[in-house]
Amino acid sequence: MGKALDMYREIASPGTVDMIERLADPLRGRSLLHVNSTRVGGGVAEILDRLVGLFADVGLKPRWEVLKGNEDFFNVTKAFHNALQGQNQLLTDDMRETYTSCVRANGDELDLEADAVVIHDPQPAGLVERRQPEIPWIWRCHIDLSRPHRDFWKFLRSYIIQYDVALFSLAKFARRLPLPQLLLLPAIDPLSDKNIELPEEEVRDRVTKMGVPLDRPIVLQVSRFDRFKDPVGVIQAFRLVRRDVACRLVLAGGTADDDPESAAVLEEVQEAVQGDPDILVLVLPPTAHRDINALQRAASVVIQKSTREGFGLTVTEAMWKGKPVVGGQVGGITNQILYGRTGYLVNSVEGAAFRLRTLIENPALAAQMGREGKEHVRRNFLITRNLRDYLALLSWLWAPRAKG
Amino acid sequence: MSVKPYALYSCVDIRQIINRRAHGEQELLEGIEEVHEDSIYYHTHSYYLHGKYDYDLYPNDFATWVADDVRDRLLSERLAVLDPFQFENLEALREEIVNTIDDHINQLGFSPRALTGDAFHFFRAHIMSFPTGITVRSRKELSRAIRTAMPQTIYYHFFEDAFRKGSRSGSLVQWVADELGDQDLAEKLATFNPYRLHLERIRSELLSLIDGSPKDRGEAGAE
Repeated sequence: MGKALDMYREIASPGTVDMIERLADPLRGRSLLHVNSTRVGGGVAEILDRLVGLFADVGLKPRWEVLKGNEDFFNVTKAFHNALQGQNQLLTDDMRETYTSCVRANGDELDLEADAVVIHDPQPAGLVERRQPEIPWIWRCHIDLSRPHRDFWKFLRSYIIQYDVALFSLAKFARRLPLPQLLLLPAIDPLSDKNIELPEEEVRDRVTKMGVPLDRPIVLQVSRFDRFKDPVGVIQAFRLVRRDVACRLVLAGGTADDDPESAAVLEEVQEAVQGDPDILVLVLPPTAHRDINALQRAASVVIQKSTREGFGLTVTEAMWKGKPVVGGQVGGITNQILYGRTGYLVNSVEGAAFRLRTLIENPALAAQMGREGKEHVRRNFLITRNLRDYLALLSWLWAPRAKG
Repeated sequence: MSVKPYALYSCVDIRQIINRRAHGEQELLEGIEEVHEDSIYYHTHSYYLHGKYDYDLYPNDFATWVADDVRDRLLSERLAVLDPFQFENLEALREEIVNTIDDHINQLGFSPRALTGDAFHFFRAHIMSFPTGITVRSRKELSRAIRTAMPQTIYYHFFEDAFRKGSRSGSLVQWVADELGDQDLAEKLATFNPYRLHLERIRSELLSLIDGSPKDRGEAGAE
């Protein structure tokens, strides 16, 4: 048995690693291919980075391929991303052509041979045209599909119906499809640079180097500069809180290869900040995992005021560091925050401000919520649970009588 | 006579989202009437398998949704007390749930809807069981195994391998009776109601039954 999995024995709930090993026993030697659209940046790439190694540790033969695309392609898939999560967009014939030709070119280039294939998100979904019928193909949807734009969904659906099974982060994201749709909650890796325990000194050094003073409580939102994360709403909420309590706001985010819109959103954020010295906007490279880790550990309260969300891994990341979280009552955030026990769910700028103030003014309450949050993550949102669920799914799909 | 060893199993579920939702109590009733038995199983058992006792209000998803989203306290309490152990099988349990909701709606004269706007989503459970690699041949070994077993192992033997398969007690109880010849312990295990406890409490209650009094601790089978 490989060593990486053993490192989780003391971190995950007791017995979890043993269970994973038993589940994997009959699957040894089988190959598994994951395909997504970026090697770095975003929660999907982060989790795949570790998950692939853990599959190897338990005896499977995993591979991870990344779809290659040019700027035009990623502009189109960003429009898909927005439209599938409810934004009004126009789907043109050119967009269809850009998508189809890029995915087909990738289909010619990529080695898609495996005993099972997991395709992540809409960008590479069209690769299913190259599937071999006897091999299970799994579509893993990480985004909020509860109210997709009709034209975009119709286009994507024509590919999705060619899969054997679709995985969603929440039941309400599932659509009417002629294939089994399963729930698969995402997870974080507690041993990654983003989440591993850091010495206090390192936290202090890193945060100070990023120009964040530690003289006042810090309210933190970590997310891509994406309108669905409502960074401007966070600034408005912070300004309401600051009328009563001295604190600072840090908006830390980055860009990803497959997100061309983030620069425009960042501009809107800078405009909203208007040079306010208590608001720090940090644009971090996609590899700044330890810096984000340090920021989350230095924060008093973490906010994730999304208006749309697939899952929102940053909520779980913050809870793992013992922080109370104020989150928008959308998507997977509602599944992570136990209302009044690990944080609060809010629906407005005012609601966010009220809860942020409550937590900053009550450090004992914040600490108690933080402790509960960490245990909640240990039981439900660690990568070991994700690995276990994938193994159960593969057992099901590879069983002689699959897909009941 | 040598004792045939008993292999302990564990399990994990695959949660299938079946495209059926309820926005109010009448739709919930109709859904419960029509969904596959695996759905009734999932919504009355996931509380235990997924350790929802830390955050869910009641031990079945129907009661919790009615409480959290419909905000109908009366019905949620009536659903919460339904104890699967008191029913012969899932169909009998389904019927009682349907009757309870139907009776409540009739008394109200209307069907309340979810105030939060969050629908009830029906799931279906596919249970994947697998051997833990642990076998026991005596009461003492059983005690040791239960003490360190994964919670899902306890779940498997006292829920999945029992009620799910249509009986009050599973193959473990049968083995205690047939192979260990310990009718007293078999009887105690057969009448033990796991639905009143969460998995860690079930473990400690089981251990007190298996370890029993000093007199009970004599080995009934070969070591």
